[in-house]
Amino acid sequence: MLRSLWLLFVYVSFLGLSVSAPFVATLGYVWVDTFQPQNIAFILLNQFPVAMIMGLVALGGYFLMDRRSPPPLTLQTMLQVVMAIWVTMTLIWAQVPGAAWEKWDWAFKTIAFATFIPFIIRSRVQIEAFAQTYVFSLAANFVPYGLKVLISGGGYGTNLGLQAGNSGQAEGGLLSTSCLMAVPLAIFLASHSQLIPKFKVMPLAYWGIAGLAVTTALGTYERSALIGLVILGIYMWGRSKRKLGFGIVLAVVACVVVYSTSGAWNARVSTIGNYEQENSAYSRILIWQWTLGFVATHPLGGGFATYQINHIDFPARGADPGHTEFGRAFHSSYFEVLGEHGYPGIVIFLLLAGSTLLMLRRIAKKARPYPELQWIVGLSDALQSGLAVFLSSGAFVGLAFQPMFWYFISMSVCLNAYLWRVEHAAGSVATGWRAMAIAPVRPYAPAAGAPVWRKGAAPSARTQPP
Amino acid sequence: MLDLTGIMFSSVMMLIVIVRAMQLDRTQPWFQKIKRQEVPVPVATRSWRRPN
Repeated sequence: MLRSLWLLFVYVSFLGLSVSAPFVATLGYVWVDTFQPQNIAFILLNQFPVAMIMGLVALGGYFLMDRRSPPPLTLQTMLQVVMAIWVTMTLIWAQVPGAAWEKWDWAFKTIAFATFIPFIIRSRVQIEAFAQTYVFSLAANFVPYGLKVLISGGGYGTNLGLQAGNSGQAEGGLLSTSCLMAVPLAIFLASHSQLIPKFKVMPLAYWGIAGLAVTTALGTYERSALIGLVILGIYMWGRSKRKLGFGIVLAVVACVVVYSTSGAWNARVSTIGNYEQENSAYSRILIWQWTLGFVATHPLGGGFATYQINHIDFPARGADPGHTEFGRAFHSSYFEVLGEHGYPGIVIFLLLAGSTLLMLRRIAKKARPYPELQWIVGLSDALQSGLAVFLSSGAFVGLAFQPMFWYFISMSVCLNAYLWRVEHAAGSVATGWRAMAIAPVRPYAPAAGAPVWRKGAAPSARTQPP
Repeated sequence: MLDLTGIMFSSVMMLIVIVRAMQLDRTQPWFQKIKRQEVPVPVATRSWRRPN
């Protein structure tokens, strides 16, 4: 009861504050989409479409009150739009139309809203608020989960989270991957936050949150979490300035993991090596083989939830005389996109992931010489690390249309647009072929006059032309 | 109890962040102007001279 009333208060707070500042409703949608209060509240919030209301308020706030300074059109934005169109088109030839519509309903909203976010999240403060909201939305789940793992040790299939069932944040693979993706963001916020009061304890609090996220990921006993953790460690070490110090921290964490994990965890993780003897790992390989066979005859994919038509023949092994299983999930983001949206879908997906990583590297390289823009370098590195976790763990869990990947893409596009605005505010001059293509160079100039929601506020530098 | 603590902690932190973001967003310039360092130009090349 208390939980439900508190969540209602938070939800109403988002709506109320968004009247004064429209970007708050977008953050509210990120909170609703990530934390899913409607699945956790026992009364009120589970009675009405909370996400739809928040989404409409966010869109309405943008279109009616705050349409200044749109971001430049990037390859990533175009790919997101193309992906949204393509996944809608695959409904036409969906193998399981009912289930396909059901999944399209939330997957399309995720892609569409992620495409919209860079239009309203523009300033440094807003970008950081986006990152903070995402981390704290997840923290509501993994802080208590991590504490419970420290007390009880966790376990495979043991649901210690807020949600019941085996979907959303209650699913171990999704939970562990989203937790690991939040780790670099939390570490970034520990050193670059503007929004949290400057107490000495605050960086430690963020490191504590990152520690609980890692504990939660390990406590799920998911093998994909271990792969993600190793990739995260390697990537963050590669991007860190103090490689020796960071290497020592990683070595200590590795020792703690080895000596503190139980025999059950070690037994579970060690099955990565002998996949042919382990049913879950072996079934993945058979499902992926089925998917390759399916797209050979259906190159445009079979629409959302195509896995429901598969049948996997397990050959005789040991005491098992062999059997057939039906409707096994893809257990891989790549094969999920390939099976559901065919070769065009996987090409768009890989292009989106690859081009975003390259864009983030370019952003970091551009911002590195300027002390004022070091936070961009830090956030770019954090987003790269998070995406590296997704692309590695996601190879073994079907997460392609879950919000975290799309929000990381959005955050990257926001960061790129921010740097673009800074460059144009500083009066950069295009050179080479760009100078010939864009002649004359049009400097960035914000829309004249204050927006409706800022009328009466003191004039600030942002309304002044640079 | 731990669940409620987690929910309260995260949502209180989030609301603090958002209220602070609203305050800062109104008072700070949106885009930082970077200080570009001018490359020093030697005196000899400041004006074009016909080579002798």
